[in-house]
Amino acid sequence: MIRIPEDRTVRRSITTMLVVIGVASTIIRMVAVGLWCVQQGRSIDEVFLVEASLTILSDIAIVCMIGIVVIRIGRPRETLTYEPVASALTTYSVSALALLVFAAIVPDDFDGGRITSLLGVVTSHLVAIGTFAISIGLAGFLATLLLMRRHERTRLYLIVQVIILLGIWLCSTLGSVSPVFTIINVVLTVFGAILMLINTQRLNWLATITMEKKIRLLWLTVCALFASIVLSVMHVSSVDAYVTESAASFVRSGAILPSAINFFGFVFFLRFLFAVIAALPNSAIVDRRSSEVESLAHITRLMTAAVSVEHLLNSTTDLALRICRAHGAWMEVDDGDGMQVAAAQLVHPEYVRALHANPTIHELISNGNGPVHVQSLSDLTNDAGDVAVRSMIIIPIYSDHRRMGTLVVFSTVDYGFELDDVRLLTAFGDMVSVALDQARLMEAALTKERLQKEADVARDIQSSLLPRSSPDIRPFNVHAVMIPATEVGGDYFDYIRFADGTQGVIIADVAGKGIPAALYMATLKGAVLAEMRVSAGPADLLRRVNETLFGSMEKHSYISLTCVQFSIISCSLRIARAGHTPAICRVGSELKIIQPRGVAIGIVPPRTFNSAIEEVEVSVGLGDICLLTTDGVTERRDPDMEEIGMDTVADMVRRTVSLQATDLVQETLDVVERHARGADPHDDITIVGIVVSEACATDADSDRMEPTGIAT
Amino acid sequence: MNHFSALVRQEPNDICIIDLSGYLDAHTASDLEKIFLTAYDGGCRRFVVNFTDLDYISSAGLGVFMVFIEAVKRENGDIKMAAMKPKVFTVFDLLGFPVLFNIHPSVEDAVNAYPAI
Repeated sequence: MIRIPEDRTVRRSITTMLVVIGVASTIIRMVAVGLWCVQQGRSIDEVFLVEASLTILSDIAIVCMIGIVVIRIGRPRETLTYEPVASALTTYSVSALALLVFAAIVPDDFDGGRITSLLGVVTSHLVAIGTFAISIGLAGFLATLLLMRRHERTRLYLIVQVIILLGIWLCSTLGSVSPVFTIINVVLTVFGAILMLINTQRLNWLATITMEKKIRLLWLTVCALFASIVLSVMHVSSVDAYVTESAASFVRSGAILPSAINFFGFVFFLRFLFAVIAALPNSAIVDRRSSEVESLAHITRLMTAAVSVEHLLNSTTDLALRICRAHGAWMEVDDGDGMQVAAAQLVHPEYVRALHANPTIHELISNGNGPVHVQSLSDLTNDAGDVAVRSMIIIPIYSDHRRMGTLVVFSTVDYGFELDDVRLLTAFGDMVSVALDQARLMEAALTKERLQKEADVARDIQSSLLPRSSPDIRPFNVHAVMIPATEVGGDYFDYIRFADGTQGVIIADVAGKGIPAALYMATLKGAVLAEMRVSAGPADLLRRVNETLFGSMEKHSYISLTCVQFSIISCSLRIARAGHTPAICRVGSELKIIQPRGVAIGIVPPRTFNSAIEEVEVSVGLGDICLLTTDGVTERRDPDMEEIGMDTVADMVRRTVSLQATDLVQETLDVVERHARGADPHDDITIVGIVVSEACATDADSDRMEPTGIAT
Repeated sequence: MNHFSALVRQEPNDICIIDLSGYLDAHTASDLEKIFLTAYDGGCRRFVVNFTDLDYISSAGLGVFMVFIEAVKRENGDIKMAAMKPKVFTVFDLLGFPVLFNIHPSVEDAVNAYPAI
């Protein structure tokens, strides 16, 4: 079996070669015929040698044509449905009719098989080539079509048909010898036609194309049928016809070939026509089924394309309306405050509300457990006379086992819907249920992601606000850590420098969590940095910060804050507290809970705040320590939700032997985490450790100043 | 989950008593805020918050009172706190809330602290 090359360029070059050879041999033949017939005035069949040479030339041309057709349409295609068939039919019909018209208008220059003019030579060759080309093309098309929808014997039948074709040709050539051959010829033709009928099967694909296409195919087939019968009959009945004469002069008895092929084509087209006509009645069902399948596929695509639920509902109602040929459709979805019209086609939401005012309709729409098909509303109620709705289908939609909505289509005529519509809309309802489920999960995922992102942002803000290293404030040794909770709490600490150049530390806790807390933290840092340069001491700083922030904060938020100033000259700590967890200090061997009066920032206006705040001074010496924490430390819980409490932390401060702030902080963390026993922290943990690690310059020559205003 | 509840009682002398119980934290603060808002919209300006059964209060819970105190005081009302457990009082006290809110040992004291109309 000859394989047709896969490569396109190879196929193209072979085609070109065949065209060139075919055209060349035709031209040579034309020249030869012109010289022999027109110039010499002789007939082609006078000399055997001349006729044989000319026949070889025409055979070459025909073989080239066959080759081109095989290459052009011999490639196996995946499907051969409406489009290629329709275009082939069009090409065939148009070219066949054009050929007939051309043959009719050119002058007949044949004189008993001899061509009398040069023009006649050219036109007769053109007509002959055209005839053969059309016939061979048709044969190719038929073969492809039959092979494409083949059954087990198709190929065999086709080969037999080719043999019959050759047989017919042979008999036609020998027809002049004996009338037996003419009879055989007829028998063969009939047999070929029957074979064609048998071979033309598998036309049920016609049933699946739409009505519109079937009608178009019907007309095209009629045209092709007409063209094929004309071409076929003309060659047989009229020996003097120009087409016949041209073909016969091109190939001896050649007219019979196009005739037979076109006759087989005619048989095929006839069969095809009946198939198309037979397929017409089920068009409505096919159309309906195909639009159902298409619409379900469309909805599936919408679902996977992550379009909004609103878009999906709109598309679904629109499809429901069109496929069920309804007069209106809408979708109600429960948005938490009862059913709301989420999408409506050809019906106004107000009208839907008006329909709900009718108790019967409302009951039908709202309380059915499954799909409801109302064939005629007047059967159900008498007071629906003023409502245009006559029949309706109601599909409840469930999501997560909960009634989430209703799809309703209605018609203004009784019995407007079929059972098929209910079935389809139920499928739609299922799709919408899935889509609603999806949307719900998607939203939950997005919310989670957003919260996670928010937590990340907040954490970034928070960590970027904190100082990276401790300053050198000898003889004081200071160290601080902040350990964020899973959810950002709002803890903050910073090292500061007052107007007189003395250094200090602040520890703060912004009420609230997440980004708002982180932003307040940033605001606080800004306020502290701005005000510390003009502040005389901790209380002054807190007053100024409250003045800056009060009023600009939300009503329910506040910041608790403790500020410590390191006084190297007097070797003391000056402490002011704005509602913050007390400082725990060990001075000498005495434990002190330092809790000067003061209101958290952002709670009261400056006047009240300023009168409430108090500043204490704690004189310290070598080895004395102070611990500042946020409530994340003192309220650290164990798995039984038991808080560690101030006392445990204070006890640790009393006993510690840490000489460095880092050790003190670490020890505090250890104590807290030992209590927590691995429980997740519910709040940030911030610890500022202060240790007097070197002897103060004033230590030796002054008595300790007693701290003022200490509450224990 | 920690339980929280808040109930409003209408008392003579235009006083609204809000009885709190359970845990008042970030999760339950919005419940309290809604109840406060309903009472406020209903015309309540003289509040007494009964802390007898409140076991825990977080910073978010404290924020709720701050939302309303200013508006209530502007209209000659008040939010008086009463009968706090020591631990709850410590939270209020540390933050300096006594400056802003009157805290009474018992509900009766708080009610009586309002002048008769």
